[in-house]
Amino acid sequence: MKKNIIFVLAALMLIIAGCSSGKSTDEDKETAGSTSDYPKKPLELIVPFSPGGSTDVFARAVAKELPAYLPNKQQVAVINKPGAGTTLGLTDVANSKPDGYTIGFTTSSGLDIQPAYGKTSYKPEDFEPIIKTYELNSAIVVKKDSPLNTYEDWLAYVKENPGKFTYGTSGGTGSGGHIAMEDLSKELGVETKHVPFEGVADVMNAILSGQIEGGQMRPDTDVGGDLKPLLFTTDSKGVTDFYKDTPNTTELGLSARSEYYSGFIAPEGTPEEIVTILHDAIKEVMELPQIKELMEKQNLVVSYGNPEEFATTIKSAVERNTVIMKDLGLIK
Amino acid sequence: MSKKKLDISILVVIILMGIYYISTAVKANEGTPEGELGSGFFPIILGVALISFCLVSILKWLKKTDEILHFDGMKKILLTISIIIVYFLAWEYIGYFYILTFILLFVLFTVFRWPLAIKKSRMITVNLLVSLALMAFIYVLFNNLMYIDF
Amino acid sequence: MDISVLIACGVAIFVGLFVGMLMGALPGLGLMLAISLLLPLSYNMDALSSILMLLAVYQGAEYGGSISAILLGIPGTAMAAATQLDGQPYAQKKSPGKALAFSLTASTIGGLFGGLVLIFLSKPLAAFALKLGEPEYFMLGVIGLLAVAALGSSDAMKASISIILGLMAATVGIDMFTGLPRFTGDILELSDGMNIIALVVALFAFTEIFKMISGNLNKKREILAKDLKVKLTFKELRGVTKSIGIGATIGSIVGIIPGLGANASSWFAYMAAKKTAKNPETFGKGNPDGIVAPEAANNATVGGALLPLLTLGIPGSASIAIIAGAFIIHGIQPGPQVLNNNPELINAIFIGFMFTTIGMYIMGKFMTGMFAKVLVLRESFLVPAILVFSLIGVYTSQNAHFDLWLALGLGVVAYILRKLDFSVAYFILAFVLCPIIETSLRRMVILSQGEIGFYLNRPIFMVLAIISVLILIQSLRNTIIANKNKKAMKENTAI
Repeated sequence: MKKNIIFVLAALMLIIAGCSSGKSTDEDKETAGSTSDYPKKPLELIVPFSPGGSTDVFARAVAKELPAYLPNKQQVAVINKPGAGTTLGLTDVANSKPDGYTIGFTTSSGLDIQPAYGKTSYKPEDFEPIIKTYELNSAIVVKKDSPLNTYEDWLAYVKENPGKFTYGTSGGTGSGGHIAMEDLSKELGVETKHVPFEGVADVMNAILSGQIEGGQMRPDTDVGGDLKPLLFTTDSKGVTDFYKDTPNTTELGLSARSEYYSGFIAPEGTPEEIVTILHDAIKEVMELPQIKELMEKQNLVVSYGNPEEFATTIKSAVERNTVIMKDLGLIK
Repeated sequence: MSKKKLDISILVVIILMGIYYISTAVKANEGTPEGELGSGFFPIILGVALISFCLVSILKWLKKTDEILHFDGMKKILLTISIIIVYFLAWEYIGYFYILTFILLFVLFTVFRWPLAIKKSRMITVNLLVSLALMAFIYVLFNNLMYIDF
Repeated sequence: MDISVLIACGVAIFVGLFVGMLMGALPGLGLMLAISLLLPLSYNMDALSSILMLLAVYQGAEYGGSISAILLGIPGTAMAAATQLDGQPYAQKKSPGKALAFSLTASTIGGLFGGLVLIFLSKPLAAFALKLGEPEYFMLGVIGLLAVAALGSSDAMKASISIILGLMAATVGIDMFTGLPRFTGDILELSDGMNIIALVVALFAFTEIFKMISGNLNKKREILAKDLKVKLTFKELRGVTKSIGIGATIGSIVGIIPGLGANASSWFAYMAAKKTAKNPETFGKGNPDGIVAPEAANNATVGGALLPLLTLGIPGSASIAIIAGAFIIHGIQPGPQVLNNNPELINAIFIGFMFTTIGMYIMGKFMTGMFAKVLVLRESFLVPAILVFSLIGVYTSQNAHFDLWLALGLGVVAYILRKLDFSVAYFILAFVLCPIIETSLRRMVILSQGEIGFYLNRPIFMVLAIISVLILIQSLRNTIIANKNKKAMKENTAI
């Protein structure tokens, strides 16, 4: 019996010894390697959303094409890390080694809204922006057969009926949509009533069933849907010029304006050469016809920005949102 | 073990949890806008209901007779839990999921099958082979088909 | 139609069903993981076969979850938790093969029923679903909870405590009405609420594993090993037709209502079957009606859940949202316009959908026996394997180590609580229903703006309110009668 236990232990020791030696060689390589032969092993792309959503679909499409444009043709593995409004995944990116082997793809709220609440363990400065890829459009939308047809109709209505216009947002209180709408209401001096929802599908359902009068989200009459826009709060109005006659806040000279962008980021301290390699490769992938087609289908408006431009975008969005959120009493 | 004692102590713990839950809920309810139900409204109802149900449950023991509750095989269960804890810690802080899981399977097979009246060297070989086969399946499924990175 | 298209679709359905059943049957893995496994594959397929493949996965997983629920007492998915209540006792006392046959037949009929509803009643039902608002959702959730009370249990107080604990567990996380976290103890991983897969694994897989470990792990499970033939006589089938009908109807309706959640449908069906049964006291002890009702319901939900997606463009559940993603990848925006712009595609999906259901029956016949043989292995091999798959399922659902610790901790607690007559099934049911109840209640209060007329003008709400009051009165009456009987019995024995 004793003999056998010793045998088992010996076997285990051997296995453990095997792994630990494997580990040390791995680390040796990492520390010894310079950036010149980057990348030597597959990359990890952290996507802070569940599989199947539009952000994930785009990230996977890029990850699939990316190896062909990277030096050494290394593979890119997509890791879905959803939760806590993208902040769980972003925490992972911020805490990973700045060696270029872990990067993230994210939407704006985890960078320019969530950290302002002070609940995240990272700050917007804890990332090296790689490339800005696209923007989303968002508007005050109402049901297609609503008597409100234009921004002027809506303004007259909300002025006459303070607090009567109920609008839904897919992210709930403190989300981008809520902040944008409250900011606009404040500037116009009108009163609207926010009803929080979880997910676009639920808001749509509530608007179509007439429970709420409108929403702050992407309109879809351009693809045959039932949500028509009255006023875009983003500069972008979508991939086509279908909505060219619907105004946006900038055109009306209003200062209330929101921006929803997406892009690739790396943890702070990632060497500049690596960021450049990644930027160049992703930029080439973005030019591919199949990626362009995907973006058009998914209504993602191409909005390229190099690392510096992307950093400026994030910085100004953080500043703008912090001011608005303080104004609205969401943060102190 | 006396079922009565264990049950009452668990119910008391649940009541304490309920009190903490309510106090958190009351705090969460501060600053609720007019015409809305606050963050703590529903939880406070739940907490109060929980505590009352627990109290009734405790009172019911006044009428019931005690039973003996058997916890068989506690040693084996505690040993398994400790192995799992070690496995979790190693996975989280060292990594090497596939190798660790292989070890976990092998260790558990061996622990569970130890009382069997067969030759130990034979048993260990079987355990090794089964763990290897299972790991191969898991590796192919998750690494090669699903591209899941552990 | 081209023959190559037919072959491609056939292969897609086959692959989908296989993966779905496999993932569903392995505890802890399940629908979402099965879908994420096949999603990358679907990028390279044509629209029709990729959508059919994902639908086949959905169907397969809904059925597969019941295999381990019946044979091991560990529901592979939250949806199969209701099946476990009667499936496990039936398998142990009578015949595991028959229990699986009840489940497979009911799943197939339920799936076909859901498909027919989808094909013929799309438009009127979608319009009806839009009439339901927050007040109605709230009432449906309340009825669900009250119906549990009416289900009865050996210890009513413990059952109630389990329900309340389930509701409380569901309040953990960011409260979207304030944007602030509640009851999370500043743990970032809890801000989206407790991971339901971690919960299911903790409450069912871990407790069952501990139970197995406490016994003799090296005995052969002979009772289960015999009689694994998945076969049903006509007479046996006729005996459960009513419950299958109830399950299929409830499943389709629940599927149609966006956001009500597929998890709830099998529970509603179980409760309705028990309510209308001649011998409700045999439920929970191996009544075949208790197997077929939830199984018919969860497969009928698949067809039902597609309906709001195709008619309104609203995905009713997380899994349907992924299927919606498959439409979008292929350049089709799901919604009312699909029916007009791509009628051939939609018709082909409808036809293919019926075939996935029939395919599920055929594959179920062959594969169930295969799975079942694996599951009745010696426990000393089975337990570590189940454990590892459950842990992988928990981890991959969010890639978070925290969930593993949560599952282990709750598993230990649940093991002790189960010994003390607490009900893990009611806990999960309450956990699933809580978001419907609380969010609907709070939205309803905002929307009503304090006017009673808002509620009085909603006939469906009023009807549901009356039903819930009736259930409440009846269950109170039942308790009083039961207490009287107990007293009478005590007096009798005293004499």
